[in-house]
Amino acid sequence: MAATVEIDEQNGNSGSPTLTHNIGNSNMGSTDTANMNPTAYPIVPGGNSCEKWQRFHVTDIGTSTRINNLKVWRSGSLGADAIHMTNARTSDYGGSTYATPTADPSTVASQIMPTSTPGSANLGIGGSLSGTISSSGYSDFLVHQIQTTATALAGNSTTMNYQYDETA
Amino acid sequence: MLKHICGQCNKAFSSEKAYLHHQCPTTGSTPVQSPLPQTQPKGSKLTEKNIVAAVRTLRQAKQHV
Ligand SMILES: [Zn+2]
Repeated sequence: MAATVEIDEQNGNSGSPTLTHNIGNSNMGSTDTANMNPTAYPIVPGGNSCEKWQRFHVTDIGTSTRINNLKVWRSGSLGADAIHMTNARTSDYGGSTYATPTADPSTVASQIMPTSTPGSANLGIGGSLSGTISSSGYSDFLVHQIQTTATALAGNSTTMNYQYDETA
Repeated sequence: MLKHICGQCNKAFSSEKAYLHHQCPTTGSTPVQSPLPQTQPKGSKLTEKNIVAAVRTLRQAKQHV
């Protein structure tokens, strides 16, 4: 049986956060909530989305032996005057400790989100890009945020990709 | 204290364990699929040797009941 892997999202104050398991989308908007309705919480041109704090979660390793080599990237057009920032990176990596998500410019998501499959892991496990999950467990937090300028136009959508290697 | 919510059926849980073992009305499945018996060897392929070892272990377990 293959491993069961879901994407989770953590929201709320760092003192009493909520973890939403197996999210249905990664819609970006102006409020800190999982499975967001972006029409209700649009990003104001010139402003930023609220940060997303998400993790891979292996709920059941099944008959596999390990999950590793986590890669995240986006595909599709973001449109002009918007950038997608992240803490994911293939070098000089360090895991990020959960902090209350903010719509201010993220100090954690300081890298440009890749627009194609990274050549090597860009999200770690246990603080390391070479980390593995061999039973159940979580990856490090993936933090990402959309930042816009005042001339940004509404209506673009881009797809987040979450990839892992599974070894039998 | 971390609260847990299922992103598919929106139910809230007081613990991760409660979430992992709920049968989700939206997906129809349980996040933890099926706990493997401890005698089953890990890996997607069962070699004959492993099967024999597993059967032997099961027999020994039965004898101790
Ligand atoms: Zn559910």
